[in-house]
Amino acid sequence: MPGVMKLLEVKGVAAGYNGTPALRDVTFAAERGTRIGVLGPNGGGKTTLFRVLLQELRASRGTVALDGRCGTVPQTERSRLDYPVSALDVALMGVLPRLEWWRRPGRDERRAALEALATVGLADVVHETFGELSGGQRQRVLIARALVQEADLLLLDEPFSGLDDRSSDRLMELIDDLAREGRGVMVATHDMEQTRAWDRVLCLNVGQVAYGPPEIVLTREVIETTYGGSIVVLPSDDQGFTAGVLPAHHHVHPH
Amino acid sequence: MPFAADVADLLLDPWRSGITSRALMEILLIAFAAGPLGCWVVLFGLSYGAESLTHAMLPGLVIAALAGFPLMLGAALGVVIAAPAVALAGRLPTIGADTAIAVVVTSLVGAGALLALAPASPAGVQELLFGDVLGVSSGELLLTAALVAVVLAALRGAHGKLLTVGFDRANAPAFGASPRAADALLLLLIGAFTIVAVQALGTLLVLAMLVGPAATARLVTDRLRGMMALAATIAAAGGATGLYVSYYADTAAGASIAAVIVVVHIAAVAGLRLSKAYLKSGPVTGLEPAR
Repeated sequence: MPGVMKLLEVKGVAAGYNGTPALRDVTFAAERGTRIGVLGPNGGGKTTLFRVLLQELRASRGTVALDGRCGTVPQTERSRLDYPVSALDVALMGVLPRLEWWRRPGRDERRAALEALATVGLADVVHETFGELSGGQRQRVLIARALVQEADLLLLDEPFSGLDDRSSDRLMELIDDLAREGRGVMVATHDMEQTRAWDRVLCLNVGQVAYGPPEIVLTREVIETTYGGSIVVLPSDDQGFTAGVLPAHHHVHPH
Repeated sequence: MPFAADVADLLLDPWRSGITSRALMEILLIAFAAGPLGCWVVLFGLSYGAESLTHAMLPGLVIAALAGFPLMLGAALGVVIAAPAVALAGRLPTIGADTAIAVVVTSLVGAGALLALAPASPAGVQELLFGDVLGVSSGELLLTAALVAVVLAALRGAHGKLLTVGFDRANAPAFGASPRAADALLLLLIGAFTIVAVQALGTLLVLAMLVGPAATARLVTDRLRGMMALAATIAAAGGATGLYVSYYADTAAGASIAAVIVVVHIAAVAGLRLSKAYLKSGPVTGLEPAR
Protein backbone atom coordinates (compact mmCIF):
# COMPACT_ATOMS: atom_id res chain seq x y z
CA MET A 1 0.00 0.00 0.00
CA PRO A 2 1.63 3.25 -1.06
CA GLY A 3 1.97 5.84 1.68
CA VAL A 4 1.84 3.29 4.48
CA MET A 5 5.06 3.09 6.48
CA LYS A 6 6.46 -0.38 6.41
CA LEU A 7 7.94 -1.90 9.55
CA LEU A 8 11.31 -2.30 7.91
CA GLU A 9 12.88 -1.03 4.70
CA VAL A 10 16.46 -1.96 3.88
CA LYS A 11 17.94 -0.40 0.73
CA GLY A 12 21.31 -1.27 -0.81
CA VAL A 13 22.95 -2.04 2.52
CA ALA A 14 26.59 -3.08 2.66
CA ALA A 15 28.70 -3.66 5.77
CA GLY A 16 31.97 -5.27 6.77
CA TYR A 17 34.74 -5.56 9.32
CA ASN A 18 38.05 -3.70 8.97
CA GLY A 19 37.48 -3.09 5.28
CA THR A 20 36.54 -6.70 4.51
CA PRO A 21 32.99 -6.85 3.10
CA ALA A 22 30.66 -9.23 4.96
CA LEU A 23 27.41 -8.06 3.41
CA ARG A 24 26.49 -6.17 0.23
CA ASP A 25 23.53 -5.11 -1.91
CA VAL A 26 20.86 -6.10 0.57
CA THR A 27 17.44 -4.66 -0.27
CA PHE A 28 14.15 -5.82 1.16
CA ALA A 29 11.10 -4.54 2.99
CA ALA A 30 8.67 -6.08 5.46
CA GLU A 31 5.25 -5.24 6.86
CA ARG A 32 4.26 -5.76 10.47
CA GLY A 33 3.38 -9.33 11.26
CA THR A 34 5.80 -10.76 8.70
CA ARG A 35 7.84 -13.86 9.50
CA ILE A 36 11.11 -13.86 7.57
CA GLY A 37 13.50 -16.79 7.39
CA VAL A 38 17.10 -15.74 6.75
CA LEU A 39 19.08 -18.47 5.02
CA GLY A 40 22.75 -18.57 4.24
CA PRO A 41 26.00 -20.39 4.94
CA ASN A 42 28.24 -19.58 7.91
CA GLY A 43 29.92 -16.31 7.05
CA GLY A 44 27.09 -15.52 4.63
CA GLY A 45 26.20 -12.27 6.40
CA LYS A 46 23.20 -13.27 8.55
CA THR A 47 24.73 -12.07 11.82
CA THR A 48 26.21 -9.00 10.13
CA LEU A 49 22.76 -8.03 8.83
CA PHE A 50 21.33 -8.45 12.34
CA ARG A 51 24.09 -6.28 13.79
CA VAL A 52 23.32 -3.56 11.24
CA LEU A 53 19.61 -3.72 12.09
CA LEU A 54 20.48 -3.45 15.81
CA GLN A 55 22.70 -0.44 15.00
CA GLU A 56 25.70 -2.19 16.56
CA LEU A 57 27.46 -2.01 13.21
CA ARG A 58 27.28 0.91 10.80
CA ALA A 59 26.30 0.15 7.23
CA SER A 60 29.06 1.33 4.90
CA ARG A 61 26.43 1.87 2.20
CA GLY A 62 22.66 2.01 1.96
CA THR A 63 19.90 2.85 4.42
CA VAL A 64 17.81 1.08 7.04
CA ALA A 65 14.42 2.50 8.03
CA LEU A 66 12.73 0.80 10.97
CA ASP A 67 9.39 1.99 12.29
CA GLY A 68 9.78 0.87 15.88
CA ARG A 69 12.22 -0.92 18.15
CA CYS A 70 14.45 -3.81 17.24
CA GLY A 71 15.08 -6.59 19.78
CA THR A 72 17.70 -9.31 19.63
CA VAL A 73 17.38 -12.94 20.65
CA PRO A 74 20.95 -14.24 20.53
CA GLN A 75 22.01 -17.86 20.54
CA THR A 76 21.61 -19.27 24.04
CA GLU A 77 25.14 -20.73 23.85
CA ARG A 78 26.48 -17.20 24.12
CA SER A 79 25.00 -16.66 27.57
CA ARG A 80 26.70 -18.04 30.63
CA LEU A 81 24.92 -21.02 32.12
CA ASP A 82 26.90 -20.88 35.37
CA TYR A 83 25.66 -17.36 36.06
CA PRO A 84 23.55 -16.74 39.17
CA VAL A 85 20.44 -15.29 37.49
CA SER A 86 16.81 -16.39 37.36
CA ALA A 87 14.58 -16.34 34.26
CA LEU A 88 13.00 -13.17 35.70
CA ASP A 89 16.41 -11.49 36.10
CA VAL A 90 17.18 -12.18 32.44
CA ALA A 91 13.79 -10.90 31.24
CA LEU A 92 14.31 -7.75 33.32
CA MET A 93 17.49 -6.98 31.36
CA GLY A 94 15.10 -5.90 28.59
CA VAL A 95 14.06 -2.78 30.52
CA LEU A 96 17.63 -1.48 30.92
CA PRO A 97 17.83 0.53 27.66
CA ARG A 98 14.95 2.74 28.73
CA LEU A 99 15.91 3.21 32.40
CA GLU A 100 18.30 5.92 33.59
CA TRP A 101 21.53 4.20 34.60
CA TRP A 102 21.06 4.79 38.32
CA ARG A 103 17.44 3.58 38.39
CA ARG A 104 16.57 0.01 39.22
CA PRO A 105 13.60 -1.84 37.74
CA GLY A 106 10.45 -1.07 39.76
CA ARG A 107 7.07 -2.73 40.13
CA ASP A 108 5.92 -1.81 36.60
CA GLU A 109 9.05 -3.24 35.03
CA ARG A 110 8.74 -6.45 37.02
CA ARG A 111 5.12 -6.79 35.93
CA ALA A 112 6.13 -6.31 32.28
CA ALA A 113 8.83 -8.98 32.65
CA LEU A 114 6.40 -11.43 34.31
CA GLU A 115 3.85 -10.82 31.55
CA ALA A 116 6.48 -11.43 28.87
CA LEU A 117 7.50 -14.69 30.55
CA ALA A 118 3.83 -15.71 30.69
CA THR A 119 3.46 -14.87 26.98
CA VAL A 120 6.25 -17.30 26.11
CA GLY A 121 4.72 -19.97 28.38
CA LEU A 122 7.18 -19.76 31.25
CA ALA A 123 4.99 -18.33 34.03
CA ASP A 124 5.79 -21.31 36.25
CA VAL A 125 9.59 -21.10 36.06
CA VAL A 126 10.22 -17.36 36.54
CA HIS A 127 12.35 -17.94 39.63
CA GLU A 128 14.30 -20.91 38.24
CA THR A 129 18.00 -20.43 37.55
CA PHE A 130 18.52 -19.67 33.85
CA GLY A 131 21.28 -22.24 33.43
CA GLU A 132 19.09 -25.02 34.82
CA LEU A 133 16.29 -24.53 32.28
CA SER A 134 16.06 -26.68 29.14
CA GLY A 135 17.45 -25.34 25.85
CA GLY A 136 13.96 -24.52 24.58
CA GLN A 137 13.03 -22.75 27.80
CA ARG A 138 16.24 -20.70 27.73
CA GLN A 139 15.47 -19.66 24.16
CA ARG A 140 12.02 -18.53 25.24
CA VAL A 141 13.44 -16.56 28.19
CA LEU A 142 15.59 -14.63 25.70
CA ILE A 143 12.49 -14.02 23.55
CA ALA A 144 10.70 -12.73 26.68
CA ARG A 145 13.63 -10.36 27.24
CA ALA A 146 13.17 -8.97 23.71
CA LEU A 147 9.43 -8.60 24.37
CA VAL A 148 10.23 -6.61 27.52
CA GLN A 149 12.28 -4.35 25.25
CA GLU A 150 8.96 -3.67 23.49
CA ALA A 151 10.56 -4.79 20.26
CA ASP A 152 8.50 -4.42 17.08
CA LEU A 153 11.02 -6.43 15.12
CA LEU A 154 12.56 -9.52 16.73
CA LEU A 155 15.83 -10.94 15.41
CA LEU A 156 16.31 -14.61 16.32
CA ASP A 157 19.79 -15.97 15.67
CA GLU A 158 19.60 -19.71 14.96
CA PRO A 159 17.07 -20.32 17.73
CA PHE A 160 16.38 -23.93 16.77
CA SER A 161 19.92 -25.21 17.14
CA GLY A 162 20.10 -27.85 19.84
CA LEU A 163 16.32 -28.04 20.40
CA ASP A 164 14.40 -31.31 20.37
CA ASP A 165 11.32 -31.68 18.13
CA ARG A 166 8.84 -30.75 20.84
CA SER A 167 10.73 -27.57 21.79
CA SER A 168 11.10 -26.68 18.11
CA ASP A 169 7.36 -27.06 17.57
CA ARG A 170 6.61 -24.83 20.55
CA LEU A 171 9.05 -22.23 19.25
CA MET A 172 7.42 -22.32 15.80
CA GLU A 173 4.04 -21.72 17.46
CA LEU A 174 5.47 -18.85 19.49
CA ILE A 175 6.91 -17.23 16.34
CA ASP A 176 3.44 -17.47 14.74
CA ASP A 177 1.85 -15.90 17.84
CA LEU A 178 4.34 -13.02 17.87
CA ALA A 179 3.65 -12.31 14.20
CA ARG A 180 -0.10 -12.39 14.83
CA GLU A 181 0.45 -9.68 17.48
CA GLY A 182 1.84 -7.52 14.68
CA ARG A 183 5.55 -7.95 15.34
CA GLY A 184 8.04 -8.66 12.60
CA VAL A 185 10.13 -11.75 13.23
CA MET A 186 13.38 -12.48 11.41
CA VAL A 187 14.88 -15.92 12.03
CA ALA A 188 18.41 -16.81 10.96
CA THR A 189 18.43 -20.55 10.33
CA HIS A 190 20.10 -23.34 8.38
CA ASP A 191 16.88 -25.31 8.00
CA MET A 192 15.25 -24.33 4.74
CA GLU A 193 12.30 -26.65 5.28
CA GLN A 194 11.36 -24.59 8.32
CA THR A 195 11.31 -21.39 6.30
CA ARG A 196 8.62 -22.80 3.98
CA ALA A 197 6.11 -22.18 6.77
CA TRP A 198 6.90 -18.48 6.94
CA ASP A 199 5.92 -15.44 4.85
CA ARG A 200 9.26 -14.45 3.33
CA VAL A 201 12.70 -15.93 2.83
CA LEU A 202 15.88 -13.87 2.54
CA CYS A 203 18.83 -15.76 1.03
CA LEU A 204 22.27 -14.32 1.73
CA ASN A 205 25.71 -15.30 0.59
CA VAL A 206 27.51 -12.03 1.39
CA GLY A 207 25.39 -10.57 -1.40
CA GLN A 208 21.62 -10.94 -1.44
CA VAL A 209 20.65 -13.94 -3.56
CA ALA A 210 16.87 -13.65 -3.30
CA TYR A 211 14.00 -12.32 -1.22
CA GLY A 212 10.34 -13.20 -1.46
CA PRO A 213 7.69 -15.77 -0.59
CA PRO A 214 9.24 -19.20 0.03
CA GLU A 215 7.28 -20.92 -2.72
CA ILE A 216 8.88 -18.56 -5.25
CA VAL A 217 12.32 -18.08 -3.69
CA LEU A 218 13.26 -21.62 -2.70
CA THR A 219 14.28 -22.93 -6.08
CA ARG A 220 17.17 -25.25 -6.68
CA GLU A 221 19.13 -22.49 -8.42
CA VAL A 222 18.69 -19.99 -5.56
CA ILE A 223 19.68 -22.53 -2.94
CA GLU A 224 22.74 -23.59 -4.90
CA THR A 225 23.81 -19.96 -5.25
CA THR A 226 23.11 -19.29 -1.59
CA TYR A 227 25.16 -22.16 -0.30
CA GLY A 228 27.71 -22.23 -3.12
CA GLY A 229 27.34 -25.97 -3.59
CA SER A 230 25.27 -28.55 -5.37
CA ILE A 231 21.97 -29.99 -4.22
CA VAL A 232 21.06 -33.49 -3.28
CA VAL A 233 17.35 -34.04 -3.87
CA LEU A 234 15.73 -36.14 -1.18
CA PRO A 235 12.29 -37.79 -1.24
CA SER A 236 9.75 -35.00 -0.85
CA ASP A 237 6.11 -34.29 -0.13
CA ASP A 238 3.66 -32.78 -2.64
CA GLN A 239 4.76 -29.20 -2.08
CA GLY A 240 8.06 -29.44 -3.89
CA PHE A 241 11.48 -30.90 -3.57
CA THR A 242 13.29 -31.47 -0.33
CA ALA A 243 16.85 -30.45 -0.68
CA GLY A 244 20.09 -31.10 1.09
CA VAL A 245 23.01 -28.97 0.05
CA LEU A 246 26.52 -30.22 -0.45
CA PRO A 247 29.21 -27.63 0.12
CA ALA A 248 31.16 -26.43 -2.93
CA HIS A 249 34.27 -28.46 -2.03
CA HIS A 250 32.36 -31.72 -1.55
CA HIS A 251 33.26 -34.63 -3.83
CA VAL A 252 31.17 -37.72 -4.17
CA HIS A 253 33.31 -40.78 -3.67
CA PRO A 254 32.39 -43.98 -5.45
CA HIS A 255 31.74 -46.92 -3.13
CA MET B 1 25.80 -16.53 86.37
CA PRO B 2 29.57 -16.69 86.40
CA PHE B 3 29.77 -18.81 83.22
CA ALA B 4 27.70 -16.32 81.16
CA ALA B 5 29.77 -13.48 82.58
CA ASP B 6 32.97 -15.31 81.62
CA VAL B 7 31.74 -15.82 78.06
CA ALA B 8 30.68 -12.18 77.82
CA ASP B 9 34.09 -11.12 79.05
CA LEU B 10 35.76 -13.42 76.55
CA LEU B 11 33.74 -11.92 73.71
CA LEU B 12 33.87 -8.28 74.77
CA ASP B 13 37.39 -8.01 76.19
CA PRO B 14 39.09 -7.48 72.83
CA TRP B 15 36.94 -4.44 72.01
CA ARG B 16 37.30 -2.51 75.25
CA SER B 17 40.13 -0.32 73.99
CA GLY B 18 39.68 2.36 71.35
CA ILE B 19 42.39 0.81 69.20
CA THR B 20 40.70 -2.59 68.89
CA SER B 21 37.15 -1.27 68.60
CA ARG B 22 38.28 0.99 65.73
CA ALA B 23 39.97 -2.03 64.15
CA LEU B 24 36.71 -3.99 64.37
CA MET B 25 34.72 -1.11 62.85
CA GLU B 26 37.26 -0.79 60.04
CA ILE B 27 37.12 -4.52 59.26
CA LEU B 28 33.30 -4.56 59.30
CA LEU B 29 33.11 -1.58 56.95
CA ILE B 30 35.59 -3.21 54.57
CA ALA B 31 33.57 -6.45 54.73
CA PHE B 32 30.35 -4.68 53.66
CA ALA B 33 32.08 -3.45 50.50
CA ALA B 34 34.10 -6.63 49.95
CA GLY B 35 30.99 -8.86 49.81
CA PRO B 36 29.20 -7.33 46.80
CA LEU B 37 32.33 -6.08 45.01
CA GLY B 38 34.04 -9.45 45.45
CA CYS B 39 31.05 -11.19 43.85
CA TRP B 40 31.47 -9.10 40.71
CA VAL B 41 35.23 -9.72 40.72
CA VAL B 42 34.60 -13.48 40.86
CA LEU B 43 31.80 -13.44 38.27
CA PHE B 44 33.78 -11.27 35.83
CA GLY B 45 36.91 -13.41 36.28
CA LEU B 46 38.87 -10.39 37.51
CA SER B 47 40.60 -12.04 40.48
CA TYR B 48 43.99 -12.05 38.76
CA GLY B 49 43.61 -8.42 37.65
CA ALA B 50 42.60 -7.41 41.18
CA GLU B 51 45.56 -9.27 42.67
CA SER B 52 47.89 -7.58 40.19
CA LEU B 53 46.51 -4.18 41.09
CA THR B 54 46.84 -4.69 44.85
CA HIS B 55 50.41 -5.97 44.60
CA ALA B 56 51.53 -3.40 42.07
CA MET B 57 50.55 -0.48 44.29
CA LEU B 58 53.48 -1.16 46.66
CA PRO B 59 55.74 1.64 45.27
CA GLY B 60 53.03 4.22 45.98
CA LEU B 61 52.71 2.99 49.56
CA VAL B 62 56.46 3.03 50.10
CA ILE B 63 56.76 6.57 48.72
CA ALA B 64 53.97 7.70 51.08
CA ALA B 65 55.64 5.97 54.03
CA LEU B 66 59.01 7.59 53.20
CA ALA B 67 57.46 11.02 52.77
CA GLY B 68 55.36 10.72 55.93
CA PHE B 69 52.00 10.96 54.11
CA PRO B 70 48.93 8.95 55.17
CA LEU B 71 48.94 5.40 53.79
CA MET B 72 45.62 5.96 52.01
CA LEU B 73 47.24 8.72 49.96
CA GLY B 74 50.08 6.35 49.12
CA ALA B 75 47.57 3.68 48.15
CA ALA B 76 45.82 6.16 45.86
CA LEU B 77 49.19 7.04 44.30
CA GLY B 78 49.95 3.33 43.93
CA VAL B 79 46.64 2.72 42.14
CA VAL B 80 47.26 5.69 39.83
CA ILE B 81 50.62 4.14 38.85
CA ALA B 82 49.53 0.50 38.78
CA ALA B 83 46.09 0.66 37.12
CA PRO B 84 47.19 2.18 33.78
CA ALA B 85 50.34 0.02 33.78
CA VAL B 86 48.32 -3.18 34.31
CA ALA B 87 45.64 -2.09 31.83
CA LEU B 88 48.18 -1.14 29.13
CA ALA B 89 50.24 -4.30 29.66
CA GLY B 90 47.09 -6.34 29.15
CA ARG B 91 46.74 -4.89 25.66
CA LEU B 92 50.27 -5.67 24.48
CA PRO B 93 49.80 -7.92 21.46
CA THR B 94 53.19 -9.64 21.49
CA ILE B 95 53.53 -11.65 24.71
CA GLY B 96 49.98 -12.18 25.93
CA ALA B 97 48.06 -10.34 28.63
CA ASP B 98 48.88 -12.55 31.63
CA THR B 99 52.62 -12.57 30.93
CA ALA B 100 52.70 -8.81 30.36
CA ILE B 101 50.77 -8.16 33.58
CA ALA B 102 53.06 -10.51 35.52
CA VAL B 103 56.11 -8.59 34.25
CA VAL B 104 54.58 -5.23 35.22
CA VAL B 105 53.51 -6.45 38.67
CA THR B 106 56.89 -8.03 39.44
CA SER B 107 58.66 -4.85 38.32
CA LEU B 108 56.50 -2.63 40.51
CA VAL B 109 56.73 -4.92 43.56
CA GLY B 110 60.51 -5.06 43.02
CA ALA B 111 60.71 -1.27 42.78
CA GLY B 112 58.66 -0.97 45.96
CA ALA B 113 60.87 -3.45 47.81
CA LEU B 114 64.01 -1.67 46.59
CA LEU B 115 62.73 1.62 47.99
CA ALA B 116 61.51 0.07 51.23
CA LEU B 117 64.69 -1.88 51.96
CA ALA B 118 67.12 0.95 51.12
CA PRO B 119 69.39 1.74 54.11
CA ALA B 120 67.99 5.28 54.35
CA SER B 121 64.37 4.07 54.58
CA PRO B 122 62.69 3.75 57.98
CA ALA B 123 61.59 0.28 59.10
CA GLY B 124 57.98 -0.66 58.46
CA VAL B 125 57.77 -2.45 55.12
CA GLN B 126 55.94 -5.27 56.90
CA GLU B 127 53.03 -2.94 57.62
CA LEU B 128 52.73 -2.18 53.93
CA LEU B 129 52.76 -5.82 52.94
CA PHE B 130 50.55 -7.22 55.69
CA GLY B 131 48.65 -4.19 57.00
CA ASP B 132 48.19 -2.74 60.46
CA VAL B 133 44.51 -2.69 61.29
CA LEU B 134 45.24 -1.74 64.90
CA GLY B 135 46.84 1.49 63.70
CA VAL B 136 43.64 2.87 62.11
CA SER B 137 42.78 6.37 63.31
CA SER B 138 39.30 7.86 63.71
CA GLY B 139 39.85 10.05 60.65
CA GLU B 140 40.82 7.05 58.54
CA LEU B 141 37.74 5.24 59.81
CA LEU B 142 35.54 8.08 58.55
CA LEU B 143 37.29 8.08 55.18
CA THR B 144 36.79 4.30 54.98
CA ALA B 145 33.06 4.74 55.69
CA ALA B 146 32.79 7.38 52.95
CA LEU B 147 34.62 5.28 50.32
CA VAL B 148 32.65 2.16 51.23
CA ALA B 149 29.43 4.16 50.76
CA VAL B 150 30.64 5.32 47.33
CA VAL B 151 31.55 1.74 46.29
CA LEU B 152 28.17 0.37 47.41
CA ALA B 153 26.22 3.22 45.77
CA ALA B 154 28.07 2.73 42.48
CA LEU B 155 27.45 -1.04 42.57
CA ARG B 156 23.77 -0.52 43.31
CA GLY B 157 23.37 1.98 40.46
CA ALA B 158 25.23 -0.15 37.93
CA HIS B 159 23.75 -3.48 39.08
CA GLY B 160 21.61 -4.10 35.98
CA LYS B 161 24.37 -3.20 33.53
CA LEU B 162 26.96 -5.34 35.31
CA LEU B 163 24.50 -8.23 35.41
CA THR B 164 23.81 -7.91 31.68
CA VAL B 165 27.48 -7.69 30.68
CA GLY B 166 28.45 -10.65 32.84
CA PHE B 167 25.59 -12.73 31.42
CA ASP B 168 26.43 -12.24 27.74
CA ARG B 169 29.25 -9.82 26.91
CA ALA B 170 28.82 -9.99 23.15
CA ASN B 171 25.15 -9.01 23.17
CA ALA B 172 25.13 -6.69 26.20
CA PRO B 173 25.39 -3.50 24.03
CA ALA B 174 21.98 -4.33 22.53
CA PHE B 175 20.61 -3.83 26.05
CA GLY B 176 22.40 -0.55 26.68
CA ALA B 177 25.24 -2.13 28.68
CA SER B 178 28.83 -1.52 27.56
CA PRO B 179 31.34 -4.24 28.48
CA ARG B 180 34.20 -1.72 28.46
CA ALA B 181 32.37 0.66 30.78
CA ALA B 182 31.53 -2.25 33.10
CA ASP B 183 35.18 -3.39 33.20
CA ALA B 184 36.40 0.17 33.79
CA LEU B 185 33.89 0.72 36.60
CA LEU B 186 34.89 -2.50 38.33
CA LEU B 187 38.60 -1.68 38.01
CA LEU B 188 37.91 1.76 39.48
CA LEU B 189 35.94 0.29 42.38
CA ILE B 190 38.60 -2.36 43.04
CA GLY B 191 41.09 0.54 43.16
CA ALA B 192 38.90 2.47 45.63
CA PHE B 193 38.40 -0.65 47.76
CA THR B 194 42.11 -1.36 47.80
CA ILE B 195 42.91 2.22 48.87
CA VAL B 196 40.60 1.67 51.83
CA ALA B 197 41.54 -1.87 52.75
CA VAL B 198 45.30 -1.73 52.32
CA GLN B 199 45.77 0.07 55.67
CA ALA B 200 44.15 -2.84 57.47
CA LEU B 201 45.27 -5.81 55.40
CA GLY B 202 48.33 -4.74 53.41
CA THR B 203 48.99 -5.27 49.71
CA LEU B 204 49.49 -9.02 50.07
CA LEU B 205 46.37 -9.85 52.10
CA VAL B 206 43.76 -7.40 50.83
CA LEU B 207 42.69 -9.82 48.12
CA ALA B 208 41.77 -12.50 50.67
CA MET B 209 38.96 -10.27 51.92
CA LEU B 210 37.81 -9.37 48.39
CA VAL B 211 37.85 -12.75 46.66
CA GLY B 212 37.74 -15.37 49.45
CA PRO B 213 34.24 -14.71 50.85
CA ALA B 214 32.74 -14.23 47.36
CA ALA B 215 34.29 -17.47 46.12
CA THR B 216 32.86 -19.30 49.15
CA ALA B 217 29.40 -17.78 48.68
CA ARG B 218 29.49 -18.76 44.98
CA LEU B 219 29.84 -22.39 46.05
CA VAL B 220 26.66 -22.47 48.08
CA THR B 221 24.15 -20.25 46.27
CA ASP B 222 23.04 -19.64 42.70
CA ARG B 223 21.30 -16.33 43.42
CA LEU B 224 23.29 -13.13 43.12
CA ARG B 225 21.60 -11.26 45.96
CA GLY B 226 22.06 -14.22 48.28
CA MET B 227 25.65 -14.56 47.12
CA MET B 228 26.39 -10.91 47.91
CA ALA B 229 24.73 -11.03 51.34
CA LEU B 230 26.50 -14.27 52.21
CA ALA B 231 29.88 -12.96 50.99
CA ALA B 232 29.51 -9.82 53.14
CA THR B 233 28.51 -11.97 56.12
CA ILE B 234 31.47 -14.32 55.67
CA ALA B 235 33.81 -11.35 55.28
CA ALA B 236 32.46 -9.66 58.42
CA ALA B 237 32.42 -12.86 60.48
CA GLY B 238 35.85 -13.86 59.18
CA GLY B 239 37.18 -10.38 59.98
CA ALA B 240 35.82 -10.39 63.53
CA THR B 241 36.97 -13.97 64.15
CA GLY B 242 40.40 -13.11 62.80
CA LEU B 243 40.66 -10.22 65.25
CA TYR B 244 39.67 -12.55 68.13
CA VAL B 245 42.35 -15.01 67.04
CA SER B 246 44.85 -12.18 66.80
CA TYR B 247 43.93 -10.92 70.30
CA TYR B 248 43.98 -14.26 72.10
CA ALA B 249 46.74 -16.05 70.16
CA ASP B 250 48.83 -12.90 69.74
CA THR B 251 49.10 -13.32 65.98
CA ALA B 252 49.23 -10.66 63.26
CA ALA B 253 45.72 -9.28 62.70
CA GLY B 254 45.68 -9.14 58.87
CA ALA B 255 47.18 -12.61 58.50
CA SER B 256 44.72 -14.05 61.07
CA ILE B 257 41.77 -12.62 59.17
CA ALA B 258 43.06 -14.00 55.85
CA ALA B 259 43.65 -17.39 57.49
CA VAL B 260 40.09 -17.56 58.87
CA ILE B 261 38.63 -16.68 55.44
CA VAL B 262 40.72 -19.38 53.76
CA VAL B 263 39.72 -21.97 56.42
CA VAL B 264 36.04 -21.12 55.87
CA HIS B 265 36.48 -21.60 52.12
CA ILE B 266 38.22 -24.96 52.52
CA ALA B 267 35.52 -26.07 54.98
CA ALA B 268 32.81 -25.07 52.48
CA VAL B 269 34.47 -27.00 49.65
CA ALA B 270 34.92 -30.08 51.87
CA GLY B 271 31.38 -29.83 53.27
CA LEU B 272 29.85 -29.60 49.81
CA ARG B 273 31.83 -32.55 48.53
CA LEU B 274 30.86 -34.67 51.50
CA SER B 275 27.19 -33.74 51.21
CA LYS B 276 27.21 -34.50 47.46
CA ALA B 277 28.83 -37.86 48.09
CA TYR B 278 26.26 -38.56 50.81
CA LEU B 279 23.33 -37.65 48.58
CA LYS B 280 24.71 -39.81 45.80
CA SER B 281 25.53 -42.97 47.67
CA GLY B 282 24.08 -42.75 51.16
CA PRO B 283 26.28 -42.32 54.25
CA VAL B 284 30.00 -41.96 53.49
CA THR B 285 31.82 -45.01 54.74
CA GLY B 286 35.19 -44.61 53.13
CA LEU B 287 37.30 -41.89 51.64
CA GLU B 288 36.01 -42.22 48.12
CA PRO B 289 36.61 -39.06 46.14
CA ALA B 290 33.46 -37.05 45.44
CA ARG B 291 32.69 -36.27 41.83
